[in-house]
Amino acid sequence: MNTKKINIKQILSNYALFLIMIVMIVVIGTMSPKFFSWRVLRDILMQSSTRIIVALGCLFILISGSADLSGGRTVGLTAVVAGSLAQKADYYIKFWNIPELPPIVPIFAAVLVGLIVGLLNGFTVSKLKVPAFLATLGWMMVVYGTNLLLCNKPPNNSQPLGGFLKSFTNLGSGNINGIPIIVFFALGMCIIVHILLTKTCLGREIFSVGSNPEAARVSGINVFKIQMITFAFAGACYGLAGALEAARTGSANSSYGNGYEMDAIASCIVGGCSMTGGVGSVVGVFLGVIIFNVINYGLTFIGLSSYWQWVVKGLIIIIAVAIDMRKYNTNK
Amino acid sequence: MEDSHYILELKHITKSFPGVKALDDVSFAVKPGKVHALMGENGAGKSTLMKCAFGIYQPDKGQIFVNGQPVVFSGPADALRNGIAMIHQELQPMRSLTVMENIWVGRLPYRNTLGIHFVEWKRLYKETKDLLDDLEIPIDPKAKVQTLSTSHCQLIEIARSVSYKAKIIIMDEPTSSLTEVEAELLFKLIRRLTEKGVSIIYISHKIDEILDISDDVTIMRDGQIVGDWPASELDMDAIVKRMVGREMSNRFPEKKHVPGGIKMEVRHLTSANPHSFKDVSFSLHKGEILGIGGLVGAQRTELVETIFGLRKKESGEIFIDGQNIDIHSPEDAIRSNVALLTEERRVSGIFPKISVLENITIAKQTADYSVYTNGPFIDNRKRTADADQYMKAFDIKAPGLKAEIQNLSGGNQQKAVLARWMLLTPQILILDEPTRGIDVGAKYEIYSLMEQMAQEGKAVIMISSEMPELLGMSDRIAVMCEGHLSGILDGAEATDEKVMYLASTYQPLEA
Amino acid sequence: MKKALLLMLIVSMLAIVPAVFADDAPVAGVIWYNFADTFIQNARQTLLNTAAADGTITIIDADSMNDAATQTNNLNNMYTNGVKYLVLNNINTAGISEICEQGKEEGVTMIFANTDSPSDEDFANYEDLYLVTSRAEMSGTMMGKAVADYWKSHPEADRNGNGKLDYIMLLGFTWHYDTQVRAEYSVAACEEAGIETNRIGGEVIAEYNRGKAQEMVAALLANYGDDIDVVFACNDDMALGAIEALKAGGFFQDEASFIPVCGVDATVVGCEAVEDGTMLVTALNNPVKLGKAIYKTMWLLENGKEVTTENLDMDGVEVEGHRIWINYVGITKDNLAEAAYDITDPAF
Repeated sequence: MNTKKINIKQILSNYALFLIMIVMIVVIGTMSPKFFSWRVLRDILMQSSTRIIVALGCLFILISGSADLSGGRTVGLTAVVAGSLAQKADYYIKFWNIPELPPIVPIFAAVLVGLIVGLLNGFTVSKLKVPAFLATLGWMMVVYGTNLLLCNKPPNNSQPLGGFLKSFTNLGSGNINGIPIIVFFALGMCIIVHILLTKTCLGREIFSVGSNPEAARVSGINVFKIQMITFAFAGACYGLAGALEAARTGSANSSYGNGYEMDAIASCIVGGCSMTGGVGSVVGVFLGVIIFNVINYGLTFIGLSSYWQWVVKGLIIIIAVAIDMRKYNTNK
Repeated sequence: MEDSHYILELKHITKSFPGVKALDDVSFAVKPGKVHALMGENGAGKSTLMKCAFGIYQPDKGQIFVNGQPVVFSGPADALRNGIAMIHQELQPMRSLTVMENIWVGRLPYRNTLGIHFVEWKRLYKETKDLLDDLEIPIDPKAKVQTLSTSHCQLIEIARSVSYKAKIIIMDEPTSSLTEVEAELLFKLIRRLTEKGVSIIYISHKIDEILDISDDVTIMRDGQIVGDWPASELDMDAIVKRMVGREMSNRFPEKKHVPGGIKMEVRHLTSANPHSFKDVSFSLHKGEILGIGGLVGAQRTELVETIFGLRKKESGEIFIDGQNIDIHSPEDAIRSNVALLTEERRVSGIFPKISVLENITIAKQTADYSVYTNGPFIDNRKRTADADQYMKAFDIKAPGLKAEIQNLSGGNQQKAVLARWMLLTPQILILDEPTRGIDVGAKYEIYSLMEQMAQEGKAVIMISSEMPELLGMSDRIAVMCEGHLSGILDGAEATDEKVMYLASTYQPLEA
Repeated sequence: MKKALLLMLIVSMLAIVPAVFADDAPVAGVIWYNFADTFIQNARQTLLNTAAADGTITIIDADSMNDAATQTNNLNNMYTNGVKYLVLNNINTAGISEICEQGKEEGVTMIFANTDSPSDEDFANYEDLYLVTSRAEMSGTMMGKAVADYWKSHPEADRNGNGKLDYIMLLGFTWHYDTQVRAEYSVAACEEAGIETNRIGGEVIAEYNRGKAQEMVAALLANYGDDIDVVFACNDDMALGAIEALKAGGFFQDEASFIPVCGVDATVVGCEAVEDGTMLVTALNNPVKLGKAIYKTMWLLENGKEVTTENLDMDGVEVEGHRIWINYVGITKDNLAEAAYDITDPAF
């Protein structure tokens, strides 16, 4: 079984996405050598940051064997919540009649709102036994509707929120020694999640539940608790991403985060997560997000029409999953 | 009373399921450090009894004692706490995780830092390594379970039971999917465990295996205990007699059909799956009912599904009417006038939420759209005419043709599925456990239909695990054991003992 | 539990019905393409506030949720409701004639609002057909003119010195009418002023989304940083995204690192950027004017008066036949005050 033959096919299928990415980078780089620059790397890392955080939330959900469609709209809602609490005191369309707050407050509030959405998702899935796909679809709509209602609140009247404090926007657009602060957030989250998933009992129990919920239950694991925690954590990730999205763009409105959940799921799958649970890693998700952002950035960079980005992204997902399925088939 | 020297006692256990009394006042006791075999035919109640002992089922009546103390199990977790573990095929491992995590899931060793429970991977590895070394299981604790063979998965499950400090390990058919070499590994492990004072309850159909490994034998039949004996006092004949020991009554229609010339020949058929059947050859005559007997795991279903094109073959040929027929899919088989009534009616037989009418007519409709259509549309009159004919002929009791088939009784569902195949007028009809889960009256009707088909000159193959049915209906009985055809008995000469003997020992036929 | 839920549902539905048909005033059915759109929301609120204060005409409205099929359902519902006026913020631009035809059959007064104009034929075919909209091409022309003026007065604006205006065009959705005319007329205005132009980066579709625009401009900047002379954006959100990316790329640090960015909509945050000196110009399509022009048109018809520029009597609103045009207002640092409007003021 375990003969250590070096099999080129095996290597190709295990690292196919890497190879695709490297080929893309090389092709783009030959078309425009400026692609190999610190600035491009920085831009891609920066643009990947919020998406990585969303994908990390999604990673939890997928490992635990569930699905979550509410991610994108939760990012939208929490972006508005964070933005509304980060406005300058003298801004003329002030969302709430409150004094200026330190930037930790809007971030904390966004994380809290995300957490609540996560708990609602978790409760609906694990207590009310609504299939995760439908439960999170339902809450996604509720979250979006809530966001529309919130944005329409006078005096804002559905205007994009603006006038954020410099201390807040700095989290998204500022840098330390040339490294964007937002990248630190993303890398920090990666490290936290990596430790949580691989080094703690909780993390391993999430894997167990995703791998085989029945076996986990028989082994005395509280599956309800685990599912609540995964959804809550995912929600908190969406919340943080929402706050950073507002800080990064210096604005927020109800259309923020649209479609992020699908990007996140796609990144996770491309990064080696299994749709059936029990498999996934932070490193994989990180690379998955980076691959998509290299495509987005690279194709715009060389001035190729945006339409192509959809075609290429779609193909990447299909190739990634097809390779993954082959791996399983050959094992049997 | 000498209760104290039993580690586990089940007293006066009764358990009923809708329509069936699975266990009727059963008492069973196990001594410490012994291998106690539990035997009986399919459906005798062995697995049900063990599921009661492991807390998966709660008995309707009766009590369970562990070390002389009465216990009540509300679930497997309770049983584990009381030192009882069970290994059965239904509980799948967590394939994507490592061996050590599978063993210690839910109980990983941890270090508490700032309220966060960090897994102590080194300790986990060491404890697993010690455990596996102690049991002489040569598996790397860090290996992913999905890379292991079935037998290694089973050894891991046993190690897991030991890690719970289980005093009693129940093994339900542990060798059914193992090769001989793999089984030998398992027996070695069982002997080591008994040396340490662990008791094993061992369920198996393989009599030679039982005689080899067990200290005590309990035989069950029809939900009751036949008796307990020390293994040393038994031999294969004695066991078979006690397992079967049932009276045959006149439950079958009179045999009027006469087998004719050869309809189909199967030559050296070998499955593409290396763990399935090998080199099976037999012939089937017109107007004959050929029974296929054997135990669970004998690969009978795999054999007929391969003939029908549902599974891939590695080698071998199938001749129908003297022609070498290449069957790669059910469509091919249907075109050659072969029909298969599958074993799992609910899984691959009925379309539960669809009407009886469509359930009956779907195969014929698929074979040729034009039969039921009028222009581009389905003509319901044509379909109804066909379905009605069989509703009457087979006496299918249904509220109407439009009723969802899931609302019919098992027997009527089975007759409807049979009608589906009869509409295709097959020349070869393969029935896989056609009367499983059907009440006695409906069974007789299915037997009558089989008899009728044989009289019409059709060739019938019937897989059955019910000995009386096999003996009562078959002109000849092919008996399989572990993927090999161990012999073909003439129906008139076949007896329970002969079938059971062939089913339990693989004896290669001299070519 | 179930019964309680059912009861709640019934009660809430009963509560809505009388609220809609409370009085005998003529009813105008208004169908907006998307309530989630800021501009539409403001126009809608203005219309509702104005009607509520005046009371001559009762408004019921519906959301097509950016979907042509939903719009068709809404149309049928309105006809079934027996409305006298039908205001349609049409998104089914391919089906205008059919819609006019149906309106004629139903005998309602049709008013197309903030959308493509029905053809002259359609107007000839049905006398109770009106159009109230802004001149979409004006928004493009305003961006183009502002850039042309800047280009001529600032020779250093040609950053690579090739004599051409190298621009990025941030598109919303390419099927969207506003996107098409804004992109077309902004460049046309530059060329009319005798400036040679050169598009960079192809069709950059940022879907009216600020974050997307920011990311795409960042990518273009990394490759074409020294060439880009100006950024046109088909709405303010995209313009603001571009500005964020430009800031990160070293622009807008001082007078010398200014680069012209143009937007459309004059949103609050957009005007703020104009005030800060980062956005060169934004074109205001005043939602209050749209809401009020719609209401006043119906009010005039209801009172038997002709719809003319004089009778409407609104600044920047001109009538040509049955077409009522609302002019865009270019907002620059000099006339920021004109960008302010008040949706709560019901006067018309």
